[in-house]
Amino acid sequence: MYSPFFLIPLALSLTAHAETSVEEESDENNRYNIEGRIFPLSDYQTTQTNWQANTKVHVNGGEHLGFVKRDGSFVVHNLPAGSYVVEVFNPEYTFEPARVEINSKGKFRARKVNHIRTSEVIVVPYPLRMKALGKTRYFQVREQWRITDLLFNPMVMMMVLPLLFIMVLPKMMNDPDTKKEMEQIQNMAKFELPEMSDMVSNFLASSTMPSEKTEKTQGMASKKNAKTRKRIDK
Amino acid sequence: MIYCLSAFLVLLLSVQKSYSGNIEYDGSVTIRLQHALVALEDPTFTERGNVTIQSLRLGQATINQKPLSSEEQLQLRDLAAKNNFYQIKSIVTANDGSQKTFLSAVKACMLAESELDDRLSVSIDYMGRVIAVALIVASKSTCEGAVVPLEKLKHFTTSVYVRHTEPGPIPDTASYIQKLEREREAKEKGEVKDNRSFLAKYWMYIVPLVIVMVVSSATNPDAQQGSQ
Amino acid sequence: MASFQSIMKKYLIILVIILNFQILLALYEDQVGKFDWKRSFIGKVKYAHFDSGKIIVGTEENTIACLNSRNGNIIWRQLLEDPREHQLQLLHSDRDLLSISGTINNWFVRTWDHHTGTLLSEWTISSDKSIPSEFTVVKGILIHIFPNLNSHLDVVTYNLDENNQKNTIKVPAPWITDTSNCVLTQSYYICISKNDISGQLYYVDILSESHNVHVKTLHSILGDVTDLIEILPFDDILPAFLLSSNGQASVVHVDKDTVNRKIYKVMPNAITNHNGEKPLIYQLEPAVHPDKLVQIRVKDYVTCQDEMAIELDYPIGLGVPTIVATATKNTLTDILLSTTDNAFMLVRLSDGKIMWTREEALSNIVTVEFFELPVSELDASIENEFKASSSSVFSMLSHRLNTQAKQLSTLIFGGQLMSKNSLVRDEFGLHKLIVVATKVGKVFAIDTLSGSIVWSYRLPNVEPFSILGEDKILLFAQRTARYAPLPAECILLAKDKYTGKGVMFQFDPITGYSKRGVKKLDHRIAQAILLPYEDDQHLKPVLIISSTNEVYLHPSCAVAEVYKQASRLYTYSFDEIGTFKGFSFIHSTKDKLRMTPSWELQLQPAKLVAVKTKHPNERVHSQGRVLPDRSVYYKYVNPNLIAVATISDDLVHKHVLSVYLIDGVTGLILYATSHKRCKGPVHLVHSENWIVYSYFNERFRRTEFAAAELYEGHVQSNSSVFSSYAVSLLPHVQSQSYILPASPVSMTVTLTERGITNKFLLVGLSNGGVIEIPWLLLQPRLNDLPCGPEESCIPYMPEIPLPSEAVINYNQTIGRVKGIEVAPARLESTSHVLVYGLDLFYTKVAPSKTFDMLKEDFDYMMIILVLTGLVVASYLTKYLAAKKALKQMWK
Repeated sequence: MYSPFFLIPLALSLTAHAETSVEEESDENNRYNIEGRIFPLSDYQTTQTNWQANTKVHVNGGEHLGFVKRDGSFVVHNLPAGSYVVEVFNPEYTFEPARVEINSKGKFRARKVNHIRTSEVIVVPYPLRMKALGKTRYFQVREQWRITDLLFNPMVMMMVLPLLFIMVLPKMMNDPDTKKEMEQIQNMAKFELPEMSDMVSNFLASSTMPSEKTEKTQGMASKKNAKTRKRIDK
Repeated sequence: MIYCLSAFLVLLLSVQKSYSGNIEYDGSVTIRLQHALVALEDPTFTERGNVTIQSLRLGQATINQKPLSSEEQLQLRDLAAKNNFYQIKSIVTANDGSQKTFLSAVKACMLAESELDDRLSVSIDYMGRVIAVALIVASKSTCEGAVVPLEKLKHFTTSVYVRHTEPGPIPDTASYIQKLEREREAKEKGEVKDNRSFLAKYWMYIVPLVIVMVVSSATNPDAQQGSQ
Repeated sequence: MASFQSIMKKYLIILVIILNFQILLALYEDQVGKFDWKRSFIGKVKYAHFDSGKIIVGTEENTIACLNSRNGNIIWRQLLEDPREHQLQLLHSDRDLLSISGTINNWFVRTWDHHTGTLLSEWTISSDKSIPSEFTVVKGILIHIFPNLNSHLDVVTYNLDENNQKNTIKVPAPWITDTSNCVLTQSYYICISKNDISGQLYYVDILSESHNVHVKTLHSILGDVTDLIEILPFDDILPAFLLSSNGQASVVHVDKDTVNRKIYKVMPNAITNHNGEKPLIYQLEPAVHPDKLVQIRVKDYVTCQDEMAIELDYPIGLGVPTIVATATKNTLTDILLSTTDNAFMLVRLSDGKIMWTREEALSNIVTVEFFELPVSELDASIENEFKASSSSVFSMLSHRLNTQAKQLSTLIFGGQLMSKNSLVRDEFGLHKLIVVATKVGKVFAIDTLSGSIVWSYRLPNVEPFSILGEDKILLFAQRTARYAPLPAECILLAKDKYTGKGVMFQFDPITGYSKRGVKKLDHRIAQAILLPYEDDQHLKPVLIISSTNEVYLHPSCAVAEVYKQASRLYTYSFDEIGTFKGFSFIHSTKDKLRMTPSWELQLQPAKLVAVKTKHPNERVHSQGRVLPDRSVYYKYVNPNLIAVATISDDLVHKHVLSVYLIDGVTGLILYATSHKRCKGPVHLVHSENWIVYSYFNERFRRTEFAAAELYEGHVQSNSSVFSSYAVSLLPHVQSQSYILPASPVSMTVTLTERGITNKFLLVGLSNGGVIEIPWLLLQPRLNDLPCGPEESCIPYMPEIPLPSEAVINYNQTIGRVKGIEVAPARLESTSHVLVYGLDLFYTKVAPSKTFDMLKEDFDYMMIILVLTGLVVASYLTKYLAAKKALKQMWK
């Protein structure tokens, strides 16, 4: 009934262009069968012992039906020549549809369904091999409340980090060694260091990294910055 | 009032113009207009005039209507005063000789108030067959009966509009494919550039930094003073 | 592979866009079954067999199924082809289950696994003859018989055991005059020539070599009988049939050249059972006991002695039963009954208990209406308090005290819990009653919370009207339950099966109680409308227009009320060939409404396929659309707009779909569009200022959606009153079309109380899913205006994405979706949805999420903990601060 099958490996799917807007004239007398096979996912057997009975093959939106046998094969009977969209439906799994064209001489061609580029032909093997694309996700995953989500929220970090500095830095100042160190740094930077607010406004105005002369402060700043980054990276 | 009338006119014409370009059919129709000037359950229609549309595509029409006789004028005024309907029957004869009859009605008071300035909307289907002839009076509001001086109810100033069936929209796949193609090309060239400004990108790091700096500068003064 | 990736990528992009807009709403897995329910049906049972504790049935819905005999639940079900064209012809249960279904000259022969319903084999039979034929299976041979009247039998046999070997036989049979006078019993084809005693009985064994025709006179079999004689099939071990006359039947066996009549008489609905200890005959009779309706009489097959007669507790609402199958296991005998109202039940002998009943009428629903429930008695009594103005001060006081005492007791003893189970209105209108009318003429009321049947009522001998090829029974809510103590009132209009005249049934939708019962009208109904005016009893009158354009009003006393509004009342009618007519009621008098034609238009030669008006309860909340430049683009909201779709056959374009928007008052066509090389099925949705329709594009072989939206422009012509006669501007029409990568079978739009919530299209697909598509996705984009998140506009995508999360019935596939009905809840965000077809599925959708309700997983504990923590902390810090301040002072 059907043409000697031309099996083309999936990886080498051929692309050809054809005028598809011309429907083939159907010859009422000749009837053809579309054949194919459904390849279940490996976890089919465990979840659905009876997936064959729950899987339906619809041709042209249910105009013609196919039922799946135990081995996964299906045949849709009694089709006149024409172009058909073959869809496989299962409540748990999603399958990609295929378009099967039967010309008046009884030659079969199967290709991918592309509603946007109707003239594009990507041939798929016939008899059809319908593989499950994956489990259908019907449900949204509920958002779970996690402490990390809250902590890494930029807003929260914006509030927490300065607080941390306010609380921690003065403590560090009390330490005599650090105090000395700080004083040193400040002495060194005394001449270069302009008014802090000036620097900030300059910094904002230029929208670039601070210039060379504020190296020291910048060193400190970038240290803090790196700290922030590290937290975010976590 | 004048503003809205002209707007109405312009709109009807514009519809015509934009679709006359790709119309495949053409033909002429003649419309025999009859009207009922007495409000009855089973009205009797009397001749009002003839409309010939020479070309459906261009929408050109010649209108041939007699002025109303004084008796008819009285009847029409009566109809308007009692807030009845002014009904018309249009018998349309197409090129191929086929005939169709249509009915339409407007509020008589509205017709009288507009001083017999009415519009005939001739709707045609995708093949150029007439499917509806409707009479309308351009107005922003309706009335519940009106008395209009007789001398204003004499001559119909009818305009005829041929209204074509627009070709329906087609899914615009071509531009979408182009868009996808462009995006693909852009991707091949490299990552899509983020052209937000530096501040917009990193504000969440900058702001705490600034705050910290401000805070530390505020706590520093005594330290600075101490060192001096 | 590459293209698949690109497709996936494309979907990813789309998904990201949608997620950004937060318009994709899916269920959480733990919400399954919380507020939705599904009931599965099989249709009117045609064939039934017992098979080791299970029941295999074949139905008129071209469905085969396996039921659990203990509770009637479906174990598996297979939907064969569309029952409108294909019908089940044979269901034979042997080693495997054999089904034959098909059209007049094309059949599918399929074998199925009994346990799982998996297909074992499938082949087809086709024939060039278009005459009714019969199938039977005898000893592994499938016999297919075409009776050619007055000529011969064409017989084709297939040997099922030997690879369906085909054999064609022609049996001369000039004695076949009428196939209704013939039966096929095993391999015998038996006819009677006349329906009275002078007739002859002809029979032939098809599988015999010689095809000898045997002739017997009916007189020689039956003796003297004066009444009409009918031949009926009878299932027995030997080839047998029934000859029935005057409500009594004789069992006749044929075997080669002998014809034996059993001496006793049985009822024509009798059935034999051979798998018990001894063969028995079961038949149904009217019960002797006045309280019971039906009894089962059991007779001995050989001697015809009455074994017993068991009276059944047959429910009053059900129709007349017939026995479909029996089986005996140990001492228990199960009997399957099918009724005229499509119910299917199992009766267990010997006590005659009805084990379960399946209301298969619900497999073919034609009309659905949602009803609000009445307030609780307590609330009603509070309302009464304000009404009773005549009573004295003291009685009012006692009334008040009484009610408040009751209120207190409900508050303390949890009366809320009790009212959850009863039919009482809740605060948010989430609990409603669904009244459905079925094709067979049975009306059911279903509770939205549980999905259980509250009441049912069978209207005998009615059938639905056919409107544009769709079955419809009209159901109008004349008065809702809002006006306690007045009961809610609903009116149902259908057609008498025999006379074609109207049938009216007025009832209380909450209780099913009808004061007047079924009333037969003496005219045909052409159209009926529920008028928006209320009379002093808060009853909305229903206007019925007869086929002769006479106008009737129910209740008829409302004429005066309606007459006042007659000058503003219009209606329209249409017929399938495309004539549209508008009518006014301006010539009505005070005591009689009269309809006069006011406009007429003719869409011929196009055929009407869909006519839609807006839902009468729909409210438009926003008057316009705000454009990016802050100006308002006003919607053209014409309440009188009719959307019409026609399809015309065309020589050049094959089929042309045309869609018109017609003003129902003036008959003016406001918008006309056509799609060439497009055919049906057309599904049309009409809401607010827009329409959406789906069709099949033959050129590109894909289903497309088109949306058209009407705008008045930047100026609103008349913001207070709309009149169809005041035409100052024709609406601007924006339209756009899309590709739907699926096959829609039904379409509707959500409806909410005030119309603030976004709109969703609900589209029933051929795969049994109902998917929600946001209107925002389809809304035509305005030309030369930017479109992006800032404009709350989704960029145009030609292919509508159908993510699986948008399937509102998730993995609960609905068999053959036929319609979707929506109703608003009192909660603005929520819409009730009932999807009907072979199955029933009810759920609630919230197109803009439940913005007016706390989330069900709202953490009350957390909030309480945080608040108390804060309060404690503030006091603690206050104390600590004071302490610290004191210390500072001392320093």
